[in-house]
Amino acid sequence: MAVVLGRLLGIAFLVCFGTGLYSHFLQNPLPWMVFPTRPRSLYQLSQGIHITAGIACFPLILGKLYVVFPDLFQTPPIKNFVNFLERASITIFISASLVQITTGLLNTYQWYPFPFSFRQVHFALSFVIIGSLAIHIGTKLPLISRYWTRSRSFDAEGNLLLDDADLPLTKADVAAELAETTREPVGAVSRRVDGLTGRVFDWIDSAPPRVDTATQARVSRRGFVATIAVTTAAVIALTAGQSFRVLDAINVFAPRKNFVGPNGLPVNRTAQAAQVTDADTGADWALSVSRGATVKLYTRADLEAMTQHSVDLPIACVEGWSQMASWRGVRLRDLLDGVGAHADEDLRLTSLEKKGGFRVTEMGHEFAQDDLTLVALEVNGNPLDLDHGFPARVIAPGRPGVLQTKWLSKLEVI
Amino acid sequence: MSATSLKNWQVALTVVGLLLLALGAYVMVDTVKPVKIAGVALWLLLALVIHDGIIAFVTFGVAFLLRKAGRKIPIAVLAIVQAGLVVCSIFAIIVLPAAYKKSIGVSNATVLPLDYAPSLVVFWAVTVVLTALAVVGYTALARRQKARPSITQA
Repeated sequence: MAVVLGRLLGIAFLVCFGTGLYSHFLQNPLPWMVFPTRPRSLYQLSQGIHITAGIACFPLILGKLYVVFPDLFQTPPIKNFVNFLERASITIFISASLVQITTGLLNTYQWYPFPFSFRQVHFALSFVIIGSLAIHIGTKLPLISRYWTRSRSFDAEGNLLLDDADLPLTKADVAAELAETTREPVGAVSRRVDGLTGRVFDWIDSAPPRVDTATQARVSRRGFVATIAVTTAAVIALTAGQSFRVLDAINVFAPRKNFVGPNGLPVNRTAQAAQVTDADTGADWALSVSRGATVKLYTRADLEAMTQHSVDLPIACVEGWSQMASWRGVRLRDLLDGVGAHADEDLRLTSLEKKGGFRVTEMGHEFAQDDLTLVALEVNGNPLDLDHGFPARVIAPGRPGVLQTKWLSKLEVI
Repeated sequence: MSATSLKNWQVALTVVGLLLLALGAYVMVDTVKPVKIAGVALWLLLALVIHDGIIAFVTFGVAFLLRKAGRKIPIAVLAIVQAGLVVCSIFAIIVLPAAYKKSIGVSNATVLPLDYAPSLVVFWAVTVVLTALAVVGYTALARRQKARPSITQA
């Protein structure tokens, strides 16, 4: 059972790790990195899976901890070096993964009651978790290998086949071991019941075990795995609607809901939070597009006078929610052609917002030159709301929402 | 898997694990201020205290009481009731923080827009009803099977 749940939990953590790394490098690319722009919902998919798998880790990790919790009370606490390594790695794993999924969940609704920065710590802990998981799997590999497949774990009647080493010692085992080590005759073996601990354990053991037969054991084992499976499925079904439209109708517990917000879209950072005011976006506003010494300025009327394109692209937030929307505006490549940009040149985007880690961002040429990338002026048939980036924002396929710069001010070819 | 190949895998996984731990520690020291690292350490410690000191002992206590006191309840009924408790508890862990955050205020109206606390109460009620129905259904089925004369195959 520990192997079954551990396998699911391991897969969930690896999925979170892989999709998390993808999201991290999209936001902090290494110089040589180029990213796919299709399918257009790639980031919606990868980050939706990241958050959904992260939430699914709650029932999986609690189930796994429940199965192995008797090991917590093992005596002596440390048996040998391998056992020390195993216990140290699992302590780090439990602690780091509980902090990771808890702070991750709180981050999905922008709640930061913890005394550290979320992004950096989430990134660093991901290596700690996968590292301690690898060590844990390494130390437990003989057990995992032994019980990995169904055919090696159960007989034809469905009874669990335990190795002798995995079974608890019986009084007869102890008597047999003693008989091998001493020539003295060995009498009846009984538990010492003096002292508080002895009396408590004697009281516990005086009850016959709950699970008496193989059938009962099967009911108990299958019941628990089924419970965790049903809970995990329910958690996914009732929250994943924030990322995947197909589950929107039963989204009752996710931090976001599709179609709720200005322009029928949720908002991550409002204009007020970004300190962008009507004065910044009024008649004086103009978008500056430059390459070296060549600079062109476009008012909103200038942009509206250019050839308009319509695209359907999701706004996919790093915090997990996503929603498809219909955008209309000027193709970014047309603006870049206007200043003579080359197809392999990247772009720096600056927002009107006064401060924030994403006020100035960069966009790789694969996104800048894509047919679907727009400087959007409208969404869902209406002019952009101020909270969605009026007078103009970027929308590109396969990019995190934080990089879909709102309240555009400058585009610089670099 | 042969003993040698098992050993090689164990060594490889342990080495990769140690390297990743070192990378995680480096990233932490490189990108997070020392005072914030102390905050991380505090939360890691709190997670252990909550797990080892609270969750494990509560689980131990419940398992212990069920073993000692629940001898007269059929194991399938016990499994159904435990399943109901597990479902309700895990949803509480996931949804209650959202309900609390909504009550103290959110950064904008599109964050936590749903009725989390009332929905959780409805979810709990549905789970309790389903659990009760499952127990009643199982008990009735078990009684009927017990009353029916057994048929043995020749």
